[in-house]
Amino acid sequence: MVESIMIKVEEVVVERRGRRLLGPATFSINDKGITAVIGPNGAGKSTLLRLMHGLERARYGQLNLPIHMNSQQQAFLFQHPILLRRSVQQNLILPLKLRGVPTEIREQEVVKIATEFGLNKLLEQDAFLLSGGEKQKLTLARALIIKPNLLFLDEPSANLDRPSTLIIENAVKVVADQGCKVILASHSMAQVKRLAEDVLFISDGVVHGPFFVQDFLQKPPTESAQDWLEDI
Amino acid sequence: MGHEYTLWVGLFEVTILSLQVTLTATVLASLIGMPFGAWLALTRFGARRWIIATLNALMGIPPVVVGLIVYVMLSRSGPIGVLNLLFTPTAMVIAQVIIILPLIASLAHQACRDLWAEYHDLLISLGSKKMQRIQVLLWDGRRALLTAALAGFGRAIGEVGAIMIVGGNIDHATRVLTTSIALETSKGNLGFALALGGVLIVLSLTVSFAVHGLSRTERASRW
Repeated sequence: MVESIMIKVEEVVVERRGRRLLGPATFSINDKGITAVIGPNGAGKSTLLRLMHGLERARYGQLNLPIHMNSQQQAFLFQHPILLRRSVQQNLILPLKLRGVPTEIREQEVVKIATEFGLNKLLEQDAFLLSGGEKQKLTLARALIIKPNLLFLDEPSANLDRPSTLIIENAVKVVADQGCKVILASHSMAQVKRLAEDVLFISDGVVHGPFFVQDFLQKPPTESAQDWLEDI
Repeated sequence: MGHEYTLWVGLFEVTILSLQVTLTATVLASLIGMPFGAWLALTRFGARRWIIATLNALMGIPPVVVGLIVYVMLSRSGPIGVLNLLFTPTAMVIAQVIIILPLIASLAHQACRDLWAEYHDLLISLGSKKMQRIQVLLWDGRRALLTAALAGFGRAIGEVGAIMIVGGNIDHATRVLTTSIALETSKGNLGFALALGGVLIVLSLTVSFAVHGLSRTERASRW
């Protein structure tokens, strides 16, 4: 099977206050499926995702995303849920409102996605009163309500118990099967095995890969990857 | 009986005018200061820090000086003297807006800055435009902004120097509670002046309670 390579990162460097956080990074990944970004704490996983999403600026280099993955077609799930000080319903409505979606369609979409995520009985509740798992479900539902073509997940289940993690993972699998490209930063190799087809390994800001998950596990490409696998 | 009746009518008149002038000034200053504060919170440019420092400094601007400047501007020989606004309630509103605008803008900036730190990544991630971001900050920060407006109202309703200069304390035209208090004190009617002071305090508290009650501040869970 030959898949077109669509997402290209070339010689990208991210610096903040003179300190290099990432790069130079060069890689290409498919525009379908789930790609995991793995590596030790502070290696630059979040920075890479934020860069690709436009939350960080590259000091040098080029990032090429296909046109159907422009910023309006992307969504980002943060490690710590960022919720508006509003009700669950208002949190879900916001992305549609910002895109000028008519009110009646907004309401239909909100009910639909809230039902999918089991949030339909909580619509009127203040978002901050939700449990950790519910908050992350809400932020995922809010990310998916715009039907993105590119979804970034920054350790989405880092603070969740197993049932909540599985709910999030199932939802991610479904959207990936529907054609949405998913880029997932994760600490958990078990999660990567459950979800991802290929991985990018980052160590000290240097990006290696992509590698097929099985290849990476059987034959770690670098010494740092070998060490990391032994440590986790 | 006739004298008492006149007294009550006079009291009612100055109380209503106090409310009218101060509420108008507070609404106008809020309409200008709050979006400006929010804009300042999410915009980065060279002079930003200077503007914030200036706003903070202007929070303590002496009202008498504002009154004097507005007087000069509105006086017949002043640049906008042709508008004939001197010694009118409009002149008093202008002076009060100038006095409380920095306070409201500065408090709005602080409230929106904290909120922006919290929402920054999300609102950028959602592809919002600057106007949309300002709307979100103003709406979600509405309780803190309400406090800013009440702080402005409190400063304006108790103000005497500037409105005395630009309003002239004219009976049945520009006399308000604070200028009445000043006048009655100067006439030696301390009892009446104190009574007016009581009315002023009750008025201020009533507005504050009414606004808090209507907006359900402190009732909405953790915000």
